[in-house]
Amino acid sequence: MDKFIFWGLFLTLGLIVLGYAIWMYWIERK
Amino acid sequence: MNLQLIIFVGYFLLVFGIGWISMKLTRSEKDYWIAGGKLGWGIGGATMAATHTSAGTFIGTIGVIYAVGWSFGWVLLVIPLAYWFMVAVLAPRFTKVTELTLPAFLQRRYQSKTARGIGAVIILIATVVYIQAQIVAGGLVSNIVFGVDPTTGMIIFTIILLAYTLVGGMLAVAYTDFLQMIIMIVGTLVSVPLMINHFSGLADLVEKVELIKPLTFDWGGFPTVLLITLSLAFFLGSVATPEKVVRLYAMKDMRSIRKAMLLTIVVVTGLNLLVFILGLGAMTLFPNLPTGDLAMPIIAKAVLPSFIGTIMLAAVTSAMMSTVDSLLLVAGSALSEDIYQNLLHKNASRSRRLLIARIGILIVGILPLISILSGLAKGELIQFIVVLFTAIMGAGFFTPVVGGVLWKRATKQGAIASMIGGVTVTALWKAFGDPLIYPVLPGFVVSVLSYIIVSYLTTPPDESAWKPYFDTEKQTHEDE
Repeated sequence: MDKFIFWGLFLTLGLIVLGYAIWMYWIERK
Repeated sequence: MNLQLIIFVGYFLLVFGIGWISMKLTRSEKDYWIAGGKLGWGIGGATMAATHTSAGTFIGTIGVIYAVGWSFGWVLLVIPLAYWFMVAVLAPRFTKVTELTLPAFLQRRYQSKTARGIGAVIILIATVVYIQAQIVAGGLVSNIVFGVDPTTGMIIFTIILLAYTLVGGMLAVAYTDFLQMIIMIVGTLVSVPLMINHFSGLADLVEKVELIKPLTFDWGGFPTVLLITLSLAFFLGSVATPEKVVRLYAMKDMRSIRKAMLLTIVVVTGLNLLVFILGLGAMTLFPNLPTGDLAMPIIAKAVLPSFIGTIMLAAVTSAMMSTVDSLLLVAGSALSEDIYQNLLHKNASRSRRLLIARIGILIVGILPLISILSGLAKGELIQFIVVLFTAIMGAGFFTPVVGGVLWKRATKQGAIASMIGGVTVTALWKAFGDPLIYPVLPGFVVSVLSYIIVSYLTTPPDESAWKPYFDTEKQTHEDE
């Protein structure tokens, strides 16, 4: 099994959501 | 059986209650169509998430995972990216002038009643098809829960949906969406550990899946070209479908919109991932289902304890209802606001306009049912109907909506050409094109090209058309 195909999805999604949260925080402070 | 009945009846009564209270609070068309533009981030984000999460997720996506494997799951990546794009690029400009419907935006930006009329017709056709898919899912669930004939189930669902949407409008839809989101979250959160309990942990589940269907965790399970073009469909459809963008109007301000979207992406991606795991479970426990669409109802019935299973089915029902009610609203508004009031009957009184709004909802609610009962809607996996709808909406609206707030030179002829070109090519490709390339790609390319080329070939628009969207001051709405 290609482990990335399974766990990579969780990881990538998590990073995108985190990215959004940071962006939101940054824009609210601006 | 009794317990199931009690849970479902209680749930429906709660939904009716919300509809009733919302009706009391609805005084104007603005209240009816966009909840007065006053939603905060909690309700706003919930209604966005619940609208996004349809029977497509609980019946359809799980069905696809069951049928083709995990690589399909990577489609999920575009969902947070799409909403991020929506909040960062579209929303700040799009909400400068509050309208009641997406076609009303097209009319203002392109100063064209024709553009509005065409937008409304696209919405009507696509929505009616989409609602069919959801109602079919409703029939499936009621068949499994109560043993009633799927047709009876579909009729009952339509009546329930119409009852609260018709009386309460967007307020009812937003508040019931909140309730439905909670049910979806609880149902899924409780079901996943119970499913994993049937194995010795997640790793064991994954191993067993591999034994049965070795291609599940392989990129070859689902053709990559199709995966990428499907992702484009999801992206375009998440950003610019009418039921999503009217929610931008329904929310109070940009601050609420930004926070609401964080809630939306967390809930939507989280629910999808959990549902995928249920799909994997179904693969190993029931490897020989005739259609993947049955995976979730079977899990609820055969794997989960009766009480939890019922909550899960209530979650599926919620997913379907929260999407259909929103679509009924946009289709009803397309019919009564954008077509009837705009083109035929401009000076109706406020109470008459509200009455027409409700008649519009009634008509678009009954149409899909008639079409199903007459045998027109059959065949494909629910998820693919859902994605086709998203593709048509995306190919039709993304370009004129996003282009309209980013490009001053865009003209009404460009917008009309792009809508008609996008939708036509998407539909034609679906019928005759290479099935490995999802129809949204050619549709989108044609829509962008015709938008740009026709705009350059026609007279530049008057400054008054684009100015409101490029001003820094917030404008107000015309017909309060």
